[in-house]
Amino acid sequence: MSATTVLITHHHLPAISRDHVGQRPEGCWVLQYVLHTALPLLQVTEGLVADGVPFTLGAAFTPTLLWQLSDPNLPQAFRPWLAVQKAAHEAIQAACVDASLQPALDAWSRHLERLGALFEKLDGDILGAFVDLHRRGHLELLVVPASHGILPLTGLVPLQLQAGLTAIERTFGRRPKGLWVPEGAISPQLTVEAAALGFTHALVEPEALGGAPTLRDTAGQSTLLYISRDAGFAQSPKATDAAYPGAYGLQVDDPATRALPNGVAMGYARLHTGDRLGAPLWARGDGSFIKQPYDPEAAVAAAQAHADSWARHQSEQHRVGAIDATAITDRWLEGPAFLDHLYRHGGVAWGTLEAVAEQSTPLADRSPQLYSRGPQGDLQWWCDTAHHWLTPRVQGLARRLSALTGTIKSNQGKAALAQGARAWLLAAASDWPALMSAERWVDVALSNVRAHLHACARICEMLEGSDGLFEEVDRTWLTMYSAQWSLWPDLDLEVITPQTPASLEPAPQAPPGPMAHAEDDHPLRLKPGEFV
Amino acid sequence: MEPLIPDVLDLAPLPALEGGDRLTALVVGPGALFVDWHVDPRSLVRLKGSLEADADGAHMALRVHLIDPEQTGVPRARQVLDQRVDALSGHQHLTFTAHDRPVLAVVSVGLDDGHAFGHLVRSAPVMLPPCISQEPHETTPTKASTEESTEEIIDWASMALVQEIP
Repeated sequence: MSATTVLITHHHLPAISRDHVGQRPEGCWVLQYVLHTALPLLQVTEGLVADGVPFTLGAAFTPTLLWQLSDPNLPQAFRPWLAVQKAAHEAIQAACVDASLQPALDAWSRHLERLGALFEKLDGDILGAFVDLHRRGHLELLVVPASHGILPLTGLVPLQLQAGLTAIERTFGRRPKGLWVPEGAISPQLTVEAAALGFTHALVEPEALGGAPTLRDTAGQSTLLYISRDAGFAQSPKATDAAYPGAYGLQVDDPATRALPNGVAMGYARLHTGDRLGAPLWARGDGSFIKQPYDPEAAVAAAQAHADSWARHQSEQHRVGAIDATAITDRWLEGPAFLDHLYRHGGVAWGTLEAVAEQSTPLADRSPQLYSRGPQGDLQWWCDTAHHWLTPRVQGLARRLSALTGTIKSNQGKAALAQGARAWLLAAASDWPALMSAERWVDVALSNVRAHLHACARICEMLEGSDGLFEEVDRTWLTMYSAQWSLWPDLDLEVITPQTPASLEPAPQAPPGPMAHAEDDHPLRLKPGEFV
Repeated sequence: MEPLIPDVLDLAPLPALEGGDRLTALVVGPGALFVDWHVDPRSLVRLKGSLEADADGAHMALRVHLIDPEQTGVPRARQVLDQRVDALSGHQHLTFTAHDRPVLAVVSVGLDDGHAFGHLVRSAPVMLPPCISQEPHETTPTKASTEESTEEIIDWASMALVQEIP
């Protein structure tokens, strides 16, 4: 029996207007999540529950995804969209003359049928199914900050953490103590900010801890345990070129591997991707990139062999396999089979991240490294030329919101300020710069982030001129905007501390002139008196 | 009649950043800053107009200063980067050898020899993170390139350059 093993899945989508569900390509993202990620996972967990298999799956949902899953119109949008998927696939199947592709096409037909049946069995209540899984003790929850923002760059970190926490509490009825850090982006300041809200541990990238499995950081009265995720687990399904389901952990001399047809030690790679209509045609990657027709049975056997190999991998330390939920479902068709087989493996001591945090004895006691996922392991990628204008604006609006906090007294003004904070959170999502840097869905990223920046700035302007006594046109606009973007209904603005200018800031009586202006705050909040 | 809420596919204008002159410095790594600045041309004209006649060759420069957190009174700052810039608006990634220290960036007007006449705009101070090591609580700052840098005394409150020490 090895040390405790934990599996955590990260579920995230940027907030897309509910008005667009099923109507626009980006409005189908949530439908794709339901079909290709949520339902396959729920299919696995349903089987495990039915067979009495003990298991705990970790889940880190972003509030933006939870908001879309709680859309009452989601089932009505999903059913016709699924019908289109099936019809398109049937058309492809009818037109296909290559007999070698038929097994893959048939398998995909069955796959769609099974998932559609499960959706109806759940009465379209995907979120309810996850809540039920949690109530049964099979789902460990982690908190993801409000909109998946890059914490060290955006500002208002307490607001982001609090909004993530309350979203989970409202949905699942529990306040988790564990934090999933978006894009692995952390700075040493996170310890104080997270501990203040009751977090005890955060799951981060191994590079942020300098290779240590855990670090305990203490800053004054605040302590946070940083836990590294397994460096290799998430690479498994990503190795699409050379191997699928992946070479990691799959030993070439593994007896299970040798037993596979054709001595497959590699796996399967998606033959072609692109639009979502029809079957994903898969092919076996034999290491030389020669593709062969997809063999569904061999693919599942390879995934199971991979699971066996990973389960047998002994470790003296705990293991935390953490992965994007789409990576182990949508982008890895056999991922659910891998999970199912892994949970049924008798040799794994399953546990929770919270238990690991409680039992862990950190090898080192120090601050984590400033780190983010990306080509260089720092935050440069998030200040790319493609969106260099974005973060300064997000920070500037954070300062304006902070300055307004405490000055607004009327209920109408407070409601407007809360909506301004929602607009800010929506603009601070990491998805927009990520899409712009990757040159994918740039129009969607630009239109959304500009709309939210504009909304936040407009609300700040309204409040800076009046404490809730708005012009009719502004009031009407705010009502409509608030109805459209109704996330985080219980946003607590009390966690926003009005930012005290550091002692270096110009005094109010500073002489006028070309050098008098300076930005009035900064994200790391140096304490007054630190420099003088 | 125009809709009150523009369609999200319509590109709403970017909100203006506050102030005519601005300089944002973001910490993006140990010893790495991303800076984004805009200087109002009128500010540059005003500053140049106040300079002495021998300042004809003056140009804009982007500077980064280390701040000594231990200091009292008028803070001293070590300059760790001095780079000519030609545009009133721009953004750059800057790297230098320093960590676990507060820094700030300044757009100045100066000469090629490093002599600065005045500052147009500065960023808020930002804290460089410590460089992680295997030793617990390692916080010793690196000196490296800062040793040979110009040292300045700056009146932070007014942003005026008081004196320059060669």
